[in-house]
Amino acid sequence: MKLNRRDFIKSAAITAAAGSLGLASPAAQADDIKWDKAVCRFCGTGCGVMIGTKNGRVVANKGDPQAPVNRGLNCIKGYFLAKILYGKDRLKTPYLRKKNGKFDKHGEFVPISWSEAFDIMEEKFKDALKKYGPNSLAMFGSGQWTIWEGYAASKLYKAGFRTNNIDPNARHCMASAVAGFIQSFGIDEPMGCYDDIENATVFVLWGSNMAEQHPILWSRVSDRKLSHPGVKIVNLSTFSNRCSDLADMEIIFKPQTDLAILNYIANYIISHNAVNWDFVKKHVAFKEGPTDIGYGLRASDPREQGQLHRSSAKKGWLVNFNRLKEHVSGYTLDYVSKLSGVPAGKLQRLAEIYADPNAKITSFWTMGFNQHTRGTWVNELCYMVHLLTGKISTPGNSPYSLTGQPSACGTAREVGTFAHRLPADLVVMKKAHRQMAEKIWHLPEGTIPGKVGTHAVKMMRWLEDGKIKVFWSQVANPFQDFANLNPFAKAAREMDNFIIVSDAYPTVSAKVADLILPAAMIYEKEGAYGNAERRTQFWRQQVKAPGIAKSDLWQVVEFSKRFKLKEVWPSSLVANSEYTPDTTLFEVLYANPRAKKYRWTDPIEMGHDNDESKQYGFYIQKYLWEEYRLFGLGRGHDLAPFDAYHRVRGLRWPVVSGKETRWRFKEGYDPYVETGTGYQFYGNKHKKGIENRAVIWVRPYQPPTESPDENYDMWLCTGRVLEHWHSGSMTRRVPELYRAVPYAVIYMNPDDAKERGLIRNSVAVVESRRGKVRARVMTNGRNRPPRGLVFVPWFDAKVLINKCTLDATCPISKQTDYKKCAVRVYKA
Amino acid sequence: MKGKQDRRGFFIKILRTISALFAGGLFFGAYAKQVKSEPSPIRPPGALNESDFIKTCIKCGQCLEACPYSSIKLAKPFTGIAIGTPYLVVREIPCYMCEDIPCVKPCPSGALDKKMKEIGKAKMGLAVLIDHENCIAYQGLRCEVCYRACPFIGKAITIEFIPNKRTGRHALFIPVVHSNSCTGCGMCEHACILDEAAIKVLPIEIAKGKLGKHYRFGWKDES
Amino acid sequence: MSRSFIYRHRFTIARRTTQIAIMALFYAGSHFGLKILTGNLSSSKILGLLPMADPVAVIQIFAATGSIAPDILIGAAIAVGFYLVVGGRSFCGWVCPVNIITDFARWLRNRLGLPDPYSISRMVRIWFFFAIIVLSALFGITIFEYVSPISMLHRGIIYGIGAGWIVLVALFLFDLFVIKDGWCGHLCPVGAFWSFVGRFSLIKIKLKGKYDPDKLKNAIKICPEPEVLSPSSFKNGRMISGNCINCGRCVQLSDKLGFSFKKSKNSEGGNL
Repeated sequence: MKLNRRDFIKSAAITAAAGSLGLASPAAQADDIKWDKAVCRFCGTGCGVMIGTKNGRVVANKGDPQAPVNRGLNCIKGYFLAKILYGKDRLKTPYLRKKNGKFDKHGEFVPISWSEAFDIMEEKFKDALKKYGPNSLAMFGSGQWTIWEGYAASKLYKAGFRTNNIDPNARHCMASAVAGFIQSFGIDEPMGCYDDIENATVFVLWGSNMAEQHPILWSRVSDRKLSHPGVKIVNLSTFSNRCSDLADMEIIFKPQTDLAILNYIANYIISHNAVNWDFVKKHVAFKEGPTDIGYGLRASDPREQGQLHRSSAKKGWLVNFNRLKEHVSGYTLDYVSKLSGVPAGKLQRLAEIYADPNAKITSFWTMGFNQHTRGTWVNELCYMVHLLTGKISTPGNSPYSLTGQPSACGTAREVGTFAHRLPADLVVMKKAHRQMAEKIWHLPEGTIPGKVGTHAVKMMRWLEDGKIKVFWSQVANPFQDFANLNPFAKAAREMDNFIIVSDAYPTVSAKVADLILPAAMIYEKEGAYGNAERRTQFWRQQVKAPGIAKSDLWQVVEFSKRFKLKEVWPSSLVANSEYTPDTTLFEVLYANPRAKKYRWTDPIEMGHDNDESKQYGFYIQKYLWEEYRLFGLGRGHDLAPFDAYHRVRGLRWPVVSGKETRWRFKEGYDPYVETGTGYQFYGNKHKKGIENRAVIWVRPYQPPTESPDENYDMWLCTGRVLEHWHSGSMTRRVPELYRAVPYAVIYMNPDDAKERGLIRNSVAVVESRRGKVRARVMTNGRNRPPRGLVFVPWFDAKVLINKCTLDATCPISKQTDYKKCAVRVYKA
Repeated sequence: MKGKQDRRGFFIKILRTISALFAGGLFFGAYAKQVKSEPSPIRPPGALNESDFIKTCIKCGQCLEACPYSSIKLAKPFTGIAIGTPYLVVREIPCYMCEDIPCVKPCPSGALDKKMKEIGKAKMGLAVLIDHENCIAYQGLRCEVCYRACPFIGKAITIEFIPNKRTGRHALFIPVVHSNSCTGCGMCEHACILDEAAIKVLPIEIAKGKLGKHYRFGWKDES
Repeated sequence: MSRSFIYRHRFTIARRTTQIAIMALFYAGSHFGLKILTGNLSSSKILGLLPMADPVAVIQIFAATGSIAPDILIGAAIAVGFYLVVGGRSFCGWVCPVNIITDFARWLRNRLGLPDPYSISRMVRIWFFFAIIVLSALFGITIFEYVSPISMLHRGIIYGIGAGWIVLVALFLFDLFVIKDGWCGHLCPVGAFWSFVGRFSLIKIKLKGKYDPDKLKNAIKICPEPEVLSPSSFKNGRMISGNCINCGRCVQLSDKLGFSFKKSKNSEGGNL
């Protein structure tokens, strides 16, 4: 036993030491480096960067001093942008599992050509289409796709293969925020922008560890507090984190009780006559929905029994203010203090802050709200507090959902690469929306199926059920990042299905796959990202991808050549179209006459490479952008023409007559708001009974799906650390970042540790009903959990904490709750 | 004749021996002086002060063998560190601050003091953020890797927030080391992401200044 | 040639085996977590329980610091006790890894027939031993421990030698070209210490029958401490000199010489 511990630790130390060798630092000779503007690869902050290339290699990078978000700064991940492309195990060629020269699910990975890769894909796709229909196909995409990559993939699946089984990893990240926006405002994405930071007098963090996860934004918040006496920060979390360094008040609450705290604040506001009646009467409507909505688990789960509104969770009916008043009156200070474990004094002070008519409050939240079995509710409850006080859509007054990924907004949400969405907030369930898409895409009516596809979590369950036969993942690491991943990884490896993973590095998911497609990385292709303040930013291709690695765009477009319409569409549909049965999807979706109008080359590229356009002979990214743009024009989602973005440091949509919009829904800032109205929540413009109003939802507190009991006596909360991005595919290959945080640890309260015979650095097991992992204990690190909770980050492929997490989701948003499940922790 | 030669031979032998011893003594004297004047490296936790340490340590390497992280090395000859004595190169492998302090337990000579029961009281050295010009935190980048790597985060290293005058809307997050809590474990130097660490653990006698005996800071409570 | 090679080299083989095995066990203790022997020849633990310490190092520490930790005092006492049983300089012949180098130098010197023009007194090591104690006290530092090729080698084997190989090569060349048996036979203060112990040791060479210089000619030739085979080193056939390293070369040379290892009943002082 002692030997084991020692071995474990020693090998970890040696790995860490080895990690410090590795890459030579790129020598920066200022004179002959070619610089061009780009965007940071990592979080949703969207820092502008400059990329320095020399001899076809990214050799240097710097923060872009002209970028309004970061003004030349970076966080530690951005500092290493030049190195993320050059990990030693970069994938340079496709790999297929083979035995005796043929594909075999239990074979070894063998390098193959692209044509062989597409051959086997074609075979598997066509086979599945023939035997099981289009819904046996599924694609798992990403909020790290460039905008046109997401758009192209969405077209291929929704129009080409005629299935809506495409969903991004943003499902794990922003789905609850989206549902909250749509339900409350009828239109997605924050009304405010980062300029709120320079205007707010109070920042309230609701489950947002900005200090680590949005480093540069937190730097702005910090400056606001430092340079403006009286500015306050309140940090609400289920464990103590680094935001508390600057916080005036830290509130550690019991998991899930944020629902109750927000209801209490509303109760306080109402009972202390702090309601902004002028605002509420003119601009707010009230709704209530069912509460027996389940937990997003499988229907067979005992916890789902008797939950009558499992599949109609988002239903709602109009109510009046009195219903809200009556509802929140139950959330007394006493009750909520007891429930949440937060001292009454603190709760009251927080309520007072929100009730203060002079305070300009920006409430930030990230995964604490979104990864929540009542994620949609809790988003809505935060809007409730802001709407009751009218603290919204004006500088500094902002309920602000921060995105985690660099293009969760730009790609996943705005392009609508979800199972139910189309670009610019259109949805597949509505015929008119489908028709609009079909018109823009030059498709016959009825091409896009009206049935919502499988959302991400369901994709995995369907894989387990044998319903998904071909699963393709791009820019994501599903077999590290899905909750409860044991059965899913097993299904992917053992069942009759075909798993394709496009990635730049051999991630956990790549190893689970049957076919690995080598992907070009960010600066090896032209791209666009949209950040958390609706800012769309472009960059040009800086260097070529190594080997025969190709961009995700190329992979999707090139694969579409393998399908003729007669193979994917019913003949009646083909007959109604402007195409022949032998037209390929490539010609319909990408290389059509509209596309070919965008000539390559183009002066806006300023001599940069563009491998895709060069091959196809037309400027494919520009075509996709200009077509995609049509969805939003005049509909509150206006984007500027392609070239404009190459000239500026990003623009915040809606961009109307060349001008960006900083605060939406507010007269004077938002061109869509009619004069004299003050505010217009025009997302609900055409919704009966709530025209141009924002909706306050009446939502109760409900207990979590799984709480600690005598067998599994602790909460498990998961998340990230500043040094590593998501599953670590890139940052773990930067030796310096690897050394800075070499492995995931179990952040634990020292008393809990002591009780279990654990000390700092002990190897312990975290075990839930679903799986277990081993990691070292950290009792006094950056995160300080209260008694009864452990926090484990998920970046470490050796500590696959998602074996333990529970795949319960918000029944409305289908977003997994990664923040709460029951585990036990014991000495290894 | 033979006896005389024998006697002569004997005397020569004695003389030779004496001169050899004399030369040896000189050599050793010079060597001893050099050993004692060598700058102290980072010693394992609980080490006696450097001058006592180098004469007490028996150089048996048992501390090294007890270290679960291979943090401790024994000085090889001609490295400028007292030969055979244990030391750490924290940039390579720092002290991971085991709460049970396994390295001190087997020390047979008392060079590592068994009276040290709490790893937080260790004084292996003192971290100093030496290079303010290359430390990216001083330039406003969000790094502070050293701060988060610190096993006594918030005590041994804290963050001082200073407005970033250049950008006008960001803050500098400056790591500040506090000598009363810093153990010199080197987690910060190890983690520093620069090619050469901007924060380094130095022997305390080099790292620390000394206030004039007569002076007291007026705002500090002296009790 | 009636006996096999192995029989004729039985003690040499046994000595090399123990020397290598001890270092291997230390190495395994450090690198593979096999806790049979931990530490090194300066101070060690057997099976994590029984401490041993190098008395010469301990004496220097005492001289330098004026105090001594109980652990190493007990360790040194156990070591002295142990070598009182197995023979003081058995350490030199059976444990110390430098012996392998100096034996090799000696073997090569004989092979090459190199001349032996210089000679210094074997007493130097005694002087040297006392000198390091005085110097340790004088300079406040464990003086010999900073130059000892013995520690350099055993530490080097276990933890990596660094530039210490230069010293060992120099020592080898010194033994090869300058003074025969220069280090172990003339200079080493650790050997000197074990000589003191050796005088009272239990296991010793015994000579059966009468001392016959002619018969012993060959034995003296191969003995690394030839003086111990002089008539004055024997009393009633028992070795009384402490300088014998119990290498067994004389015993394995020929059964007819009458040498054997014996427990001596009442060992007493003899010539150094």
